[in-house]
Amino acid sequence: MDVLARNNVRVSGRPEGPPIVFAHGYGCDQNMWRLVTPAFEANHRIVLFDHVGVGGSDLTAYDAEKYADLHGYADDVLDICHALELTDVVLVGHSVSAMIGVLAATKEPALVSRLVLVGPSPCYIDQPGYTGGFSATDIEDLLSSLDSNYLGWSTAMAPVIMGNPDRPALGEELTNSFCRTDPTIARRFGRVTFTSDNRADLAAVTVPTLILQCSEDVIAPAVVGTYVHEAIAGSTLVTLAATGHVPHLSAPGETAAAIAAFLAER
Amino acid sequence: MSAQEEPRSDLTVRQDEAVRLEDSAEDLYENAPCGYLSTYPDGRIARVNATFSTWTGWAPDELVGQRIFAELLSAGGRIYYQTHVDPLLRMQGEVRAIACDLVTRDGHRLPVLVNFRLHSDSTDRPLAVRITVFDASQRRAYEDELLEARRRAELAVTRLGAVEAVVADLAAAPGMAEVTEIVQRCATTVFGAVAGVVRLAPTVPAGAPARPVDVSGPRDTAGSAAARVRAGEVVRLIGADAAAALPDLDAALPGQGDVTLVPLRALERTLGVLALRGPPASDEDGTRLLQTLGRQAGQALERARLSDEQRQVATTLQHSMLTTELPDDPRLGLSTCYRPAGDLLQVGGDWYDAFLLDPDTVAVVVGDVVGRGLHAAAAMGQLRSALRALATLGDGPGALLDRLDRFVDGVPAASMATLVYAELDLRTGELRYACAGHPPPVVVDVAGRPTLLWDGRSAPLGAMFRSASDGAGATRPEATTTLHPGSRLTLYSDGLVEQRDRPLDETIAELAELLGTRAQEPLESWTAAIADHVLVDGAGDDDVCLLTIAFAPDPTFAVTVRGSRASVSGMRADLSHWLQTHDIIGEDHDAVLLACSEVVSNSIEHGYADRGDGPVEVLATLQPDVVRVRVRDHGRWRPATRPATGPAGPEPSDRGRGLALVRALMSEVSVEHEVGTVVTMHRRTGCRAAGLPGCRADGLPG
Repeated sequence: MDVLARNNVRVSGRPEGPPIVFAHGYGCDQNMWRLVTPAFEANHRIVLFDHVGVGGSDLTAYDAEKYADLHGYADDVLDICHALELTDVVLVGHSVSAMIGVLAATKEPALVSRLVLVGPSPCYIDQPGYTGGFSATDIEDLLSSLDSNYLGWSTAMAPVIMGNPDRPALGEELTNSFCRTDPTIARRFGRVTFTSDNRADLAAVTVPTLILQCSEDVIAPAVVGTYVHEAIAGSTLVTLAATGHVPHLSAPGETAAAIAAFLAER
Repeated sequence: MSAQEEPRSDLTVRQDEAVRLEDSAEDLYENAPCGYLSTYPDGRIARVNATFSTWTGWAPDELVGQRIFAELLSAGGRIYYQTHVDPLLRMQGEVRAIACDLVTRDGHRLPVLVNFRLHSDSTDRPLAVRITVFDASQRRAYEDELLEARRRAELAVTRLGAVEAVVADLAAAPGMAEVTEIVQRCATTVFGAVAGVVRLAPTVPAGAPARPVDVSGPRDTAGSAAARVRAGEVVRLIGADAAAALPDLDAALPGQGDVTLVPLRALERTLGVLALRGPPASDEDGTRLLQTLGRQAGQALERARLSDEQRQVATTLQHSMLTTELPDDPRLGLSTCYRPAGDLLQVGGDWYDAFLLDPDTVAVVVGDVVGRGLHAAAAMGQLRSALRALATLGDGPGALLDRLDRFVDGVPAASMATLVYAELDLRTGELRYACAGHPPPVVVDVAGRPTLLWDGRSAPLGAMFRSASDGAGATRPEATTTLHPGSRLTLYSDGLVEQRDRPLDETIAELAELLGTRAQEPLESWTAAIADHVLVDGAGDDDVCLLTIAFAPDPTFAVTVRGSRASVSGMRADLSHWLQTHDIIGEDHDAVLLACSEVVSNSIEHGYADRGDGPVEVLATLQPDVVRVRVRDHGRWRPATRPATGPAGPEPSDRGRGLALVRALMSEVSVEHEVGTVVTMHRRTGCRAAGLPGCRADGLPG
C-alpha cells in the first residue's frame, strides 16, 4: 500500500531540515495548519497529512476494525515517518491527534524526539475523580449533531470563498478542499475520538513534551491541560492567550512562537 | 390592508414601502425574520437583535459581553462548533447552513440553521463574526423525517437480508430444538434485542384447538397480553409492566426493560412466543418483520414438531420390535445389534427377529423395508408380524417368501422389502434358507473359515410372481446346508456392506473375511464389535442390522429316552461317558449323573404314569466351569402324594422326594410346567480338582 497516497501526505520546507509532522484534529484536515507552517519552512522539513477518512485521504483504506481505536491512527503516523525515512521527528498533534501522537511516541520512542500537544485531552467524558468536561449524554448529542448536519453537509463543508474578495489569502486551491469527510467515517471517528480514554498512556511518554493550552477552550479545558502536564513527567505547559480550541488558526503567530521556543530548548 | 381600502397603482405601493424600509434600517435589524448576532473574534457576543432575544428568552444585556455564542448551543453543537465551524470559519471566512440546537433561557431546544461570516479589516485581521440564525423547527422535523426514512430504508434492507437468511436456516432446521435456537439467535443478530427466548405452548397435538401460552402473573395484564399474542399480535410491554405481567419470562431474559412478545404461528394457531428484551424495532417495519419471522418460525416449528413426533413414534415402534424376547436354548447362542443411521434424521426400516418354530427349530430373519420414517417403520412392523405368523405354517423358507409376496400386495409400503430367512434344526444342524434380494448370510465354522450362502436367492418381495395368488405352490427357491457345531451364522442388512464407489461383491467378501478372522471372540458382544469395526464413527449413512446365531456353541449331549427303565440306564451310560470325555469326573460326575437320572425317572414315573412310553429329552451342555442340563417331557403333571415328613421344605411343584436330592446335588434347579414339564439345572464345576477352600459345589450337603 502506498502510505503517502493513503494519507495524502504533503512534504514541504527545507528537505534536509529536522522534520516536523503536523497531525490535524477531529473535524478538519491538514489545511488547518496552513497559518503556522510558514514559520518553520525555512529551517524544517514540514510533513502534513490527512487521517484516513478525511480530506484527500484514500477512503477505501478505511477499515472499521483498524480504526476502532486510536492505535490504528497512531500506526498510520508511524507508517508515514517510516515511508519518508524520517528520524528525530517532532510530532505536533492537535486535539485528538495529541493523543494519537502520545501513542505513536510510546510505540516508537526512538523515532519521535519531541511531542507538541495542542489542546490535548486524554479523556473527554467525566470519570470518577476526573473532569473531562463532557458527560456521555453530551457525546451522544454530538453524534446526533453529526447526523443532523448530514443533509446540510455539502453546504456546510463546501467553502464559499468564491466571490469573497476580502479573504484573498485563501487561494483558489482551497476551493472544495477543506475538511471534506465521509459522513459515516466522521461519525465513527467522532465516536472513537470522544469515547477514548488514554489517561493511562500518558505516563509512558518519555520524550520532551510541550502542552499548548488555550484560554477558554470548552473542548479541552484548562484542568485537562494541567492533568496532562502532571501525568507526563518533565513536560512543559504553556497557556496561550488565544481562546477556543484551534489556536493555530485563531492565533497562529502565538502558537508558532511557542512551538519554536520549545524546539529551541536544548 | 391599506392597498385594498384605497386602490393605488402597484408602482406607488412599492415606492412607499421602499421609503419605509429605508427609514427604519434599525427596525429591520431588530425585528428581521431571523436572529442576528455579532461576536468578537474570540467568540464573545457583541450585539444581538430583538428577534434572537425573543426566540431564546435571553435579554440582550444578559448576552452582550457576557457570553460566547457557542455557550448558547447544546453540548453536541458546542463541540461541533469548536471542531468544525470555528476552524472552517477561520480558514474560509464563511460557513453556512449549520444545523444545531440553541438552548433557550428556560432550557428548551430550538432547532436552528446558522450562517457565519467572518468580517475582517483590510489587512485580513478578523474584526467580528456576523451570525444569522433561522428557525428551523419545521425544516428540522422534515429533515428528521428524511433521516428517519433513510435509516429505516437502510435498516429494512439489512433486516430483510437477515430475515431471508433466517428463513433459509429455518427451512433446513431438522427439529424443534434447532428451530428454537435459530429464532432465539436472530432476536439479537437481526432485531438488535439484548436477548431473546422462545417459549413453546404446552404440547398441542396436530389438529387440536389452540391452548393458551403458559404465562403466569396478575391475571388482567398477563391475561390480556397472552390473549393478544394468542390472537397473533406482536405485543410490547413497557419495562415494569413486563416484569409485573410476565415475571417468569422477564426472569428468563437477562437485563431489564421492555419486552416484546412475538407469536410464533402456524395454521392460525400460536405455537409459542418469542420474547425479546430491549429495543427491537419499535417501528412499523420492524413489527411487520417480527410478524413475518413469527409466521416463518411457527411454520418451521409445526414442521419440526410433526417430524419430531413421527421420528419419536417410528423410533419407539422400531425399538419395541427389536427388543422382544429372543429364544433361549442351550444349543443356541444369539447376538444382535442395531445401529441407526448416522444423521438420526429418519428411522429406517431394518429389523431382525429370531423365534422358535418348534422346540427344535429356530427361525431367524433380517429384513429391510424400503424408505425411512414412520411409514417404513410401520410397514416393517406389519411385515415382521406376518412373517412370524406365516412361518409357523412350517412350509419352509421358499413357501414363506411366496406367502409374503401375496402379503405385500396388500401392504404397498412393504413392497420391494428385502430379507433373508433361515430355519435351523437344532438337533441336526440342518439349515434351510432363502434370500429375497438381500445380501447373502455368512457361515463361519469353528475353525474360522467363512462361507457365503449364495443359494436360495430370488427378487425382493412383491417384485415377482404378481400372479402367485393362483396358489400354484412354492416358486421361490430355497437352499439347504448343514451347520457344524460351533459354527456361527450371520445375517445382516445392506447398511453394513454398502459403501460409496465400491462394488457390493467386494465389501461382502471383505465382511466374510472379517467375520472369519474374529470368529474366536465372545459371542455376546460379537455383532456390536463387528458393527464398530465396519462403520466409521460407529454409524453409517443407513441403519444397520446384524444377527448372529451360534449353533451348538458348547459341547452338547442330547438324547431322547423312551419311558422304560432300560433306556434310562442306556442314557446313564452314554451321559457318564460324555462327561468323562469332557473331563468331568469325581464328585461333579457323580452328582450330575445322579441328578439327571433322578429327574428322568421322575418324568417317566409321574409325567407318563398313565401313558407309558412318552419321550423324555435330555440335553446337557458344557461351558467353562458349569454343566447345564435340561430335561423335558410332554406328560401331564400330577401332584405327588406328599409324605408326612420330607427332607426339603414345601415345594408346590415337587414331583417326589427325588427333587430334594436333585436340589442338593446341583447349584440351581428350576421346574416349569407348560405343555409338559421342563427341569433346568446346572452345577458349577470349575474348581473341583484344586480343592480350594470354598470350592465345594454349591448346594452340596456339607
